[in-house]
Formats: sequence, structure tokens, C-alpha cells
Amino acid sequence: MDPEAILAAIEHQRDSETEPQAEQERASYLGFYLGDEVYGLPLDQLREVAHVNHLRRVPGAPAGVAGLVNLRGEILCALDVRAILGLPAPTAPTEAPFIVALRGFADPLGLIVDEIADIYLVASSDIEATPATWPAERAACFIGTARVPAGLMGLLDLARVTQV
Amino acid sequence: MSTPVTVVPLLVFEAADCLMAVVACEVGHLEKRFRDPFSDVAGENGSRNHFDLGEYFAGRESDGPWLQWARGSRRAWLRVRRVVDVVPVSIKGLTPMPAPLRAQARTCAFLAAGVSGDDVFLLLDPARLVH
Repeated sequence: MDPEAILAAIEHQRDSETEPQAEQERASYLGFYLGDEVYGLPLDQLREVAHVNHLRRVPGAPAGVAGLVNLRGEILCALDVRAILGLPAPTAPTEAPFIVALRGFADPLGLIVDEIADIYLVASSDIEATPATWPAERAACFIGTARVPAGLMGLLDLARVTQV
Repeated sequence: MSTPVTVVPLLVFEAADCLMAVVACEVGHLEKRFRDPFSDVAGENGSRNHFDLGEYFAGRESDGPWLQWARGSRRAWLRVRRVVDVVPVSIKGLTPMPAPLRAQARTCAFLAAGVSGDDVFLLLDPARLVH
């Protein structure tokens, strides 16, 4: 075996060792819209997406709580992501918004979103800081941003967003 | 051997643009026509113990009947928009209020949420209402 072949074999071995690791550093995100802007949340932290049929507002609730939703007999506390992020209220309310049911929280929680965009695979190396133009309070709700076909996707920090 | 299911009759009513409920056996009677319902009722400390639930939760006065609520020596009058029904509800079917709502000054009066048809109602504990 000539030195060139050995070198090629070493390179191949190195690639095969690093490929699975690189794969692990990629995560799937559900992209969704609030108005024209696209946001994402880790796919492994959600369990269901459904249309909102009945949103029961709770009088006296904080602004970040949209209300309670009956999802086939299970009552979810629906969080108003738009309000939590400090985004302006829509000029015309979405006719049939979606609720994204989350997993891993003590209470049954969900996020109210306007539209579902797509599922995006994002490498950790592609995650960038939030734009400097975003207010600090809003930027604190994100782990970063990633460029996807739908635009610049803000990656939500669910632990922060759910602290209503 | 299955665990017996505890069913509680709840009085469901509308107030503050919301569906609420109280334990039916704690409601003495309704005053459909408006009158001063407090002439013969005083709170434990002598203060008048009445709550317009529309005003309490949403800042808008209700235009419906008054419910007389009592639990032991505690009693109060609750004004609602309208009474909907008395429905038997399984305790297991109730969901404790989520943390974001338990911590709020007003919404801490709700113990749990339940489902009536497709809609969600809030189980109110009138003992937690405060002036």
C-alpha cells in the first residue's frame, strides 16, 4: 500500500468517525408563522399540532396566556406566543389558528400559532445569534436564529417562553 | 376491582364572558330579580360579602341573577350573567389549573377546569374571592 492509499484510508476512517457525530448535532425544528415571521421549536419537545376549535379565554389571566383549549377532552393551557414575544396584535385575527401541544412540562401546555411552515433540519453550527435590532427582552426568548427557506427562523427557548 | 368514580354535581353559569361552575350543593338559591340581596347577609367579619363576577374578573357588571353560596359558616352572593345547567362531573375529569393561572391574584380563585360538551368551564371556589 503506497503512502497515498494509507492517507486516503485514514481520511476515510476519520470521516466515518465524524459523520455520526455531525448527524447528532443536527436537530429538527417545527417552523411556524406568527404573521409574516417564521419561528421554530425543537420537534422533540412537541407532541401534537391541531387546529384550535374552542379557545376559552380566562378572565384575569396574564397576557401570555391565551386561554384554555379542549383538545379531545384534555385541557391545555394555551400560551400566546405573540404576546410573550411582545409582537403587535394582528390587525385581523387568524380564523383558524393552530395549537402546538408541548411535551415535558408539568402542566399540559400549548402554543397558539398562526400557520405551520415546515419541518427544518438545523445544524448547531448554523445557529446564529439573534439580530441586534431585536429588543433584549424578546431576544432572551430565543436560543438563536437559523436561515431556512421561509426566512430567518427564530429558535424559541421553550423553558423561557413558558415562564409566563 | 375498579376504583369508584366520584361524581359531583356542578352548577354551570356564564360570567365575565366565561363558563364557570360551583359545587351545586353549595348554592342555596337564586335571586332572579334584582334587589338588595345583602340586607340579611353579612360576611364573617360583618362586611358585606357579595361579588359581581363580571365586574370582579372582567371589569364589566353582570346583568343576571344572584346566587347565594354557602360553605359551613362562610357565605357569599355571586352575580352571574346567566345560569346554564347543573351537570354531574367526574372529579377525575377535572384538570387542576395550570401554574401560570394559579399564581395570579384573580385567577387563583379557580380550582380546576373541566369540559362541558366542546367547551371548557372553570371551577370557581368562591371562598377565594377577595375584595
